[in-house]
Amino acid sequence: MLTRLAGARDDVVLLGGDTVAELPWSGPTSTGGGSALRYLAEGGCAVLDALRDDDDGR
Amino acid sequence: MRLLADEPLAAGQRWIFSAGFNVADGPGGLGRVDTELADLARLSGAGARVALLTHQGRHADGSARHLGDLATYLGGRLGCPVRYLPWSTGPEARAAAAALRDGEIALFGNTRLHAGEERNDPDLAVEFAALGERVAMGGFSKAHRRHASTTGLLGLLPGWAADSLVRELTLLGPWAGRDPTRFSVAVVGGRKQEKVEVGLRRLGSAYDLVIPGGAVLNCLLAARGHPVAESVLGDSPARAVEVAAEVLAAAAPDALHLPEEVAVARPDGSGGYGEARWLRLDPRRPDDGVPPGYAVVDFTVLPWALAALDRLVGGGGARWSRVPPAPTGPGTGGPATRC
Repeated sequence: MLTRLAGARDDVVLLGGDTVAELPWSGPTSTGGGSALRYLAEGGCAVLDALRDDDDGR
Repeated sequence: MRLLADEPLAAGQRWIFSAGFNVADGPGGLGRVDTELADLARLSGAGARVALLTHQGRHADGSARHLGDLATYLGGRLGCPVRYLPWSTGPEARAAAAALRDGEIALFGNTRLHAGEERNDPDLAVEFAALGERVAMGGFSKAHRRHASTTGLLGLLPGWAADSLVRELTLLGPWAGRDPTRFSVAVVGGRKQEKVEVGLRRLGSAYDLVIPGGAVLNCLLAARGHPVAESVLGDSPARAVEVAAEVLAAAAPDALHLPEEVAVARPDGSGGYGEARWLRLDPRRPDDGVPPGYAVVDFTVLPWALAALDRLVGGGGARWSRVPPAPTGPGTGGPATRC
């Protein structure tokens, strides 16, 4: 699949520590696996919420 | 949200940098360390005293280990010594943090050597918070975790988002949420429960096509009734198969790729596999399945799904399928703004 997608490099992002470390891919990558999934699907993450709450509350 | 990049830094400031150095052994697996180098260099360069906290492995299965090798690696990349201090709690850790010199970075003990890290033990968070006065939050890979070294720590000390975190959010922005003007494909594998709960269920509603692999695929095959024998089903197999069944019942046929041919192999008991062979899985005959003693280890992508991947490539990637945006705003009935 990655070979097939090589021509769409800028429109493909590879997610996750092990995945990024093990697969041959020179396009965009994210260090997040579960966190990236959560962000892509829900638009947020627990730490981002905590940082925003922290900024609001102090 | 406060950004570390906007914060004036000064000598003597006591920062805790919360990182996500949960890296695989072997070459090429240090991206989660490298991504923090610029923030660490900036803090150190300004004379800040940096107590670096990270997790690695898991306490529950004994895979959490000491991280002296990562301190050595960091020192080499940053061009300054980074000491490894094997504690992250207790009087030794507090004394070591208090003794940091201006500009010094020290890597403290792996947070997952403590059972309370993953259950967000408030007492453990208090111990971590004693290592500094401010928190720079890096470690995007753990940004979804409510652990003692993440949200627990942020509940006790003021926090700033490190550049590494902001970079990841910016990078992922174009892929986040549903965009009806772009054709989209998500390939989702892995063995953690979140890959099914979030990756399969939630991305399935935001992406046009999901191609599952790993435990995600195995759960779908099990949900369809195929025996999967020794195939990995993740952390919570029963729940994962239940979710997979719900997704399977609701998905349009062209929105979820289920292979008709898989590779199976026999686990050798030490993490390897042998006796690999291809196996047809007829969707009309759910009794067909993986033979006893074997596990699914690969699959063949069906031609229609390969053609879908080609759509991403054909006209310049996802832009190929972009259509003129419909009017947006109240009363126009246009697509929602992409987040």
